[in-house]
Amino acid sequence: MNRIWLTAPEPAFRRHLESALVRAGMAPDCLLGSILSVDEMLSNIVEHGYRKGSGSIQVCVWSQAQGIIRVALLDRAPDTSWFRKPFPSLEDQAKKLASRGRGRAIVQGLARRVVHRSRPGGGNILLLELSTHTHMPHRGESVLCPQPTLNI
Amino acid sequence: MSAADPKHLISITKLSEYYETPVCFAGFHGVVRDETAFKFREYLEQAGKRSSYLLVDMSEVSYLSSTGLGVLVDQARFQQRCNGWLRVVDPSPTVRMILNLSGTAGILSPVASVEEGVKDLAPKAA
Repeated sequence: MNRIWLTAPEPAFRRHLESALVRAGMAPDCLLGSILSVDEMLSNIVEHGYRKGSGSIQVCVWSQAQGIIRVALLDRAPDTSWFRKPFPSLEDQAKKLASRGRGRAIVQGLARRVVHRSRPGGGNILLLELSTHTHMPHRGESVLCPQPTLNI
Repeated sequence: MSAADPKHLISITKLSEYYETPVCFAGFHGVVRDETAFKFREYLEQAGKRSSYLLVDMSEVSYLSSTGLGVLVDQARFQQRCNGWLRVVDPSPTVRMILNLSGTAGILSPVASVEEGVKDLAPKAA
């Protein structure tokens, strides 16, 4: 089992992530957007979930089906409510010239789907479903670690 | 350049005059994310102090996180307070995508070229 435990953001992690996405079959022109989606979610977990302390985030990448890659971010953050809060509308943000609060909108735009679940025992599971259109890996092929057996 | 290269960001700044108005041009090359956002802010602030009109060339920026986007919006707000503007020149495909997804294209006014960016400084015909 090849799992990566990290304190995000960390350069070595990004290299692992990029490599994993490529191995899962992510098309080169989708790679930056995919890394950006994961980066934004990691930043949110660190900023909101772990704002009162430190912790780790476990990341799993695997190919789910033809043209679909899933990335699961699993944390033990004490705050599990941040993802359920509605994010501000982009129009309001633009009117206020707000400099923050757009990360999740970017992720929603880049990912096919974003799912949040509370993690058994505490913490969160964030699942990003990303598209790829080049190499079609085998269904269920694991890249960083096997598909979590969690109910996501 | 690999998307995983987190620290690469260089900038070139110059002050030019268009229609007798000083305009500062700041060109960037590299990635703008958490690790480089501080440098990005510093470069932009320096450039923004030189003129209330600021052109930011993002054609060689391969990655722009929401943190970097926030820095751009902050600087645009500063330029507006100085009765000027900030315009993003020739955004790379990734930057353009982020501007569109984040709804900031209206604030950061992407333009295709420097000439397009400064054309409203031209004296109005009588």
